[in-house]
Amino acid sequence: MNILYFRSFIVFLFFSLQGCSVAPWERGNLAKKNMAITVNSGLSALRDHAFTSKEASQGGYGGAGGGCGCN
Amino acid sequence: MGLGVAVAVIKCKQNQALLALTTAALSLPGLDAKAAIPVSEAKANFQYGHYQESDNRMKVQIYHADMVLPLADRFELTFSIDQDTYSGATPIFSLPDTMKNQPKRKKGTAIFIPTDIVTSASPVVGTFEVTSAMQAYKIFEDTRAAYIASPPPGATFAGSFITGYSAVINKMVPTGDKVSQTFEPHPQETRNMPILGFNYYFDDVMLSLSGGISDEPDFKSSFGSLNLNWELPNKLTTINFGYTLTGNNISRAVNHSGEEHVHIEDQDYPELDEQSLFHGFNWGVSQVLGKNTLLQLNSGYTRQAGYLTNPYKLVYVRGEITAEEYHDLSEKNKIFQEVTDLEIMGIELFREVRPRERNQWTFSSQLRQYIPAADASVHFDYRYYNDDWGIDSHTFEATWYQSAPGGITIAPNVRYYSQSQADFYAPYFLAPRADGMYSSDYRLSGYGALSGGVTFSKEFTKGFSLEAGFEYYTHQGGLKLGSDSAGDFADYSSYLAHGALKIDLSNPGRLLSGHQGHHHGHHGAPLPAGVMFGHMMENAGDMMIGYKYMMSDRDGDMRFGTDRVSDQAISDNACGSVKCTFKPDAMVMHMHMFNFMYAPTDWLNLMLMPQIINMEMVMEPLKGAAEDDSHEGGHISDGLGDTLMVALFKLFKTTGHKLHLGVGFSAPTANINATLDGTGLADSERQSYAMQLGSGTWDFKPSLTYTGNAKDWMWGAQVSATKRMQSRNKEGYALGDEIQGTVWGGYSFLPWLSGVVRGIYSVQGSVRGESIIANSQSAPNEFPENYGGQFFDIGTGLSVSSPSGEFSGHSLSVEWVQPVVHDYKGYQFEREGTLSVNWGFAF
Repeated sequence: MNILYFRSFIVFLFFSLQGCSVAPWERGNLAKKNMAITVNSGLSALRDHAFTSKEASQGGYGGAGGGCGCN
Repeated sequence: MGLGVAVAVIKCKQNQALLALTTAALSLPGLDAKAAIPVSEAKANFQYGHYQESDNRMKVQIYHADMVLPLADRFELTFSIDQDTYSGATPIFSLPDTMKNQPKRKKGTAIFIPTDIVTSASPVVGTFEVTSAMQAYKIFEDTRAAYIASPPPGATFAGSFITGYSAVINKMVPTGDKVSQTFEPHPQETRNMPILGFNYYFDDVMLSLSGGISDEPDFKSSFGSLNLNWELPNKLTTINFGYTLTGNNISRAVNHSGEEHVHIEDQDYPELDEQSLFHGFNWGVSQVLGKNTLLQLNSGYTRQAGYLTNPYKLVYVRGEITAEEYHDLSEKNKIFQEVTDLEIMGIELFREVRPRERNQWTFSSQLRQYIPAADASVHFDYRYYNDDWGIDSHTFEATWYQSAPGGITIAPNVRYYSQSQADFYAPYFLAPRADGMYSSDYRLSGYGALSGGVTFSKEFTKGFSLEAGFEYYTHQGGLKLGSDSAGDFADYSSYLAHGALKIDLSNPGRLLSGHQGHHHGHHGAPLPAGVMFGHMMENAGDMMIGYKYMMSDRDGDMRFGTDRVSDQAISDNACGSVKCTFKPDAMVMHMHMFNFMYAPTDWLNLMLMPQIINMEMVMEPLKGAAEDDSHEGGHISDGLGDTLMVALFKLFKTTGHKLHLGVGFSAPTANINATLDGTGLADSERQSYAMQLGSGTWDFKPSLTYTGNAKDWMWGAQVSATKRMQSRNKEGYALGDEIQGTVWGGYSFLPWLSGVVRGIYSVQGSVRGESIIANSQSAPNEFPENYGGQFFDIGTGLSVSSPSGEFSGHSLSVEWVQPVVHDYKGYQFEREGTLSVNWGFAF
């Protein structure tokens, strides 16, 4: 169910945004380091490793590295 | 969404960051209008993390380094390495509290003391242990006595036992009886994970390939992934696909003493040797929504198949074995495998079993909003997760990145997580399940978790930044969304502290410092890789980062002085007043040393060199020696080593000749309490001196280095020493002092390639004093007098460096040092040689 919603949402987003535009000179703020999807890859990897070792959920933000036998 | 296009995103946090940044950064002054922009200069990050759970549960030290190196205009290499060292107690199973306090007869007496029914018979070694443990309970004895005193109609001898077993296992559990967890200490173990990858940039598409392994004693994993990021012509939308394949090999570490072994013939369970395979797919889109807003949506599917059970966790299951079956076991009419498919680990206690397949779905959204008024950006992330084990979860996270003057960023963060329980989870099972699946792992229970923290970072000039952060995490049954939580028995909290050093050589800060365009790289001739403190930078403001790997191997014959010796001679003479029972058979040391070097003036260089060490030793019983299992299975020690701080002073320089003095100190940052049982506890037996990670003393390390070159030839010489500045460390001994002289000569075959040969003479003293903590005393390497000696070695190596072009500033050298003459003090095993690899980057 959720997958279906998700797909519809993507399709909706895709078409609805074709009209919007952000001129190149308006993109200064988007280019800031702290506006990246992952600002701090090292810390994200460290935290993801801690969370996936201690919680049942895995993945979701673009995958992870190798498995571990973490207890 | 055509999954036939089997492409995907994994392990691409960095790429995503780059992607988001570059999607947005089109046509900024000075930036090229490509889909994603490869790094123009090397980037490297070093990170340390410390994870600690409450109540002395798990503790993990995490070391991480990664780098991105541009190889060509559109092509870059990525490398990362992680090392985790973990120890501490972990929950193994949980059971009804009532079962923990049942009166059991003290052996050979009429006294009954309260005992834990389940753990009193575990770890199990056979049918006899399980059934005889039950027979000592008061309830068993009373029931059986009553049966015999007034026999029911048709009473049999077997019936008296069966009613007894039945009374024990049917011990009334009140409704909602408290859950009680049992913990087991985990010996110290280390996981290593190197990952190598390549990124290639087409005009609108970035392709990434990466692969790596994760290696720990009981779990080996290898994985590869492929990612594709495609920027649409509107320059506002980027689509990504990813695929990753992971293969795992799972075994179970066996306790040293062998007490976990089930080794009586009739109930021998095979050693665990299992596999699992994961296919992960990921697809998503990132979209610029406005000049201050960016949104990324991702979805993923992972299919896991094979052994997905935790090899250490146990479950309590009532009724899996009936009272009649217990009687059959005690009479040896049946063996374990005939009464249950579960692996028996005690009275009503079994190894957990999970399904051999798991299908996981995720959906996530990540919103980035810039707030001009505050010069801050705020991140909102949400993830929904669902799998066919019955677990679904919601994760909410918000981070505020606040920029402050002076290159400072403050980022407070809050995260909330809630999951439902797996279908086959219960804290304990009062009846068997039809599907035969059981787990009491608290991680599969229904609970919630709340965490919050803050990270500070400061950017210095030349693209250097330092970062430190702290996060507190609390796991509570009561924090679950909805009302059906697991209860509070498994509640705990933890914290994660981290520090990082980041180097980005394409950072604009560096442009401002006026160094752009004057890549001076390495000066002078390349050095053999094994020579330390031999290179000096000559311009004020120069910096260098480096990494040195050394692998030393000892696995030769036993020697006394220069002579080979027999097992008999070792047994009789090498262990002081006692007889040796073991000898060292093989020892391997891996050392990872990081080097940060800075030249405040042209005559002074400052160096800081932390290191991480892994050692492994295998011991062999001496022929004819008494039985002893203290060294069975060998030993390991891992962790942070001693840290070197060195100042180099230029003494003399003329064309073709240079002389410099090194004044160094080694700080005792290493732990020197590696124990045979891996716990590091104060009263546990220590491993030998050679297996400790550092000296435990402050050491003085002077050196004097001469280097020369003419045309394609180069040569040099160095004298260096180590003097222990304290007579004893806190464990009561000090390692011997050392002095070393080396002379080398080399030739440049090509402008970027040279070969070098050297001779090394070194003298080492024996260990002074001796460990005041109980240490093992059964092998020669555990005695101070069997250390030190004098040695002559020959080293041969190659060096690659680039005076200009893409790799300007980089140097890489490799050397093998082969022992030629050994003269050992006391009884020692032969040195086989040392491999050194040295990478440096000056800028």
